[in-house]
Amino acid sequence: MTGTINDYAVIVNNVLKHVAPKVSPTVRAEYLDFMYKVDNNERIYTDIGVTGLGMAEIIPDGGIGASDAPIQGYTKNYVQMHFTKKVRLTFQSNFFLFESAAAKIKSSVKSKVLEGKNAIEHAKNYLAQSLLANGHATSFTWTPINNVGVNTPVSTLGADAVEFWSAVHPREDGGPTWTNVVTDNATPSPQFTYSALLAARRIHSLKKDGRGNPLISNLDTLVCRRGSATAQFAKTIKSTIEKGLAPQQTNLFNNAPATDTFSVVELSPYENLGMTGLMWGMFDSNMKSQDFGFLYIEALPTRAEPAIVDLLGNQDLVLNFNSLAVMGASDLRGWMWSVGDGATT
Amino acid sequence: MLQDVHSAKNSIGFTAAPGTDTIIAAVPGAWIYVHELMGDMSQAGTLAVKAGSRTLATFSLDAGQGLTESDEPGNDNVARFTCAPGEAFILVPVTGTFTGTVDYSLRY
Repeated sequence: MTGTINDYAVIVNNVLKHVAPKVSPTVRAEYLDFMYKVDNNERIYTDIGVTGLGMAEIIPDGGIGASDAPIQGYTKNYVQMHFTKKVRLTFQSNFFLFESAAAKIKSSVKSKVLEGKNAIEHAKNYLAQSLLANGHATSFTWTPINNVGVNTPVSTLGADAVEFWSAVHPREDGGPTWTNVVTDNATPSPQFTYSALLAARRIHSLKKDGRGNPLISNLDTLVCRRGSATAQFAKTIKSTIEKGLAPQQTNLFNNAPATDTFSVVELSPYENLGMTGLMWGMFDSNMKSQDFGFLYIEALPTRAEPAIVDLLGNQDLVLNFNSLAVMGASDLRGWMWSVGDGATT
Repeated sequence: MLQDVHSAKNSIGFTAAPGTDTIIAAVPGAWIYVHELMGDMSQAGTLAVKAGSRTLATFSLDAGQGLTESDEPGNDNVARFTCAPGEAFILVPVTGTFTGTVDYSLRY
């Protein structure tokens, strides 16, 4: 007899399944691309600004110079937020899925589908991006995308008590207000084009320090949503500038670019409260520091707690992952932002 | 050289009767770039081109007079008329019927 495959149809049938994890690969902490990390073990972190001196003066012979001193600036408190992920499986689920000699899910897949650290990184990435996307309001309500969890109110006020993106940020010395909202000609929040890039840099160049002296800052990094038309077009503009050509001139290749190149930071498309494809912003990477820009203040890095069994109850297996951190910004002088809708001021 | 980016272009025909006619409905989260507007009027009268409530242009046309508005040469992909996200592309012929075509794209 020749044993054909049909003679063993039952034995070789597909009782064993390939269990394919449907999760994203390792999640990168992309919020650190535009946030400065501060390690701080206190529950509340406070920063307060202080200006330098105003410009010097010229006095006549025998004259007395005016006195000057730094001015106390604005204060902001950051209260640690508790990022957490709890996994709960019944005794039998845990046994037959993961522990049994005939466990249905192998250990390499288990480590992917029960990876709470990734869940927390997603939450941090999403919150960071939500701060950008909702920075025109004074606050918003943050909710995990799949609604497993509670709503959290989040403030989007800087230390100056004005929303992150505003045309009326006050100055420490009482001088004119300043803006970090891109306006191109009469259009506020334009979509990203070469013209809008030039406009952002023109407006940014006018910014002052707390005493009215030029800020001397350069927008060198663009933030946008990965795969969006903004990201695609940004690469065209960037590469064209780097070739020494103007990306938007009617005389085509006759002209040199009017501005410098830039880096592109693309953030994952979480959507929902996150960035739309039209949103874009730019910042000065030299001002990504503890003194300016967005801060990620961490008290407890993501930690996997010891697995426990609810022995007094129904013997569920419980896994917990925790992190204590807070995100926000005190002074966004180093940024410019556009919603890309042609309307938001 | 690329002046701006957008989706593939789409051409549609229309017949705009006297009154307010939405030619391209607003698309949430997207700009409407109108690259070309062509057509003619059945009777003498004015034709307003609007983005939502904003008037972008007004033309006085004779009966049978053709109108062609298209992107400026050399400004590749910069639209002749632009509607911001949430704004529809609207034509308002006052007396006659304006019949024609628009060539448009979307910027997401």
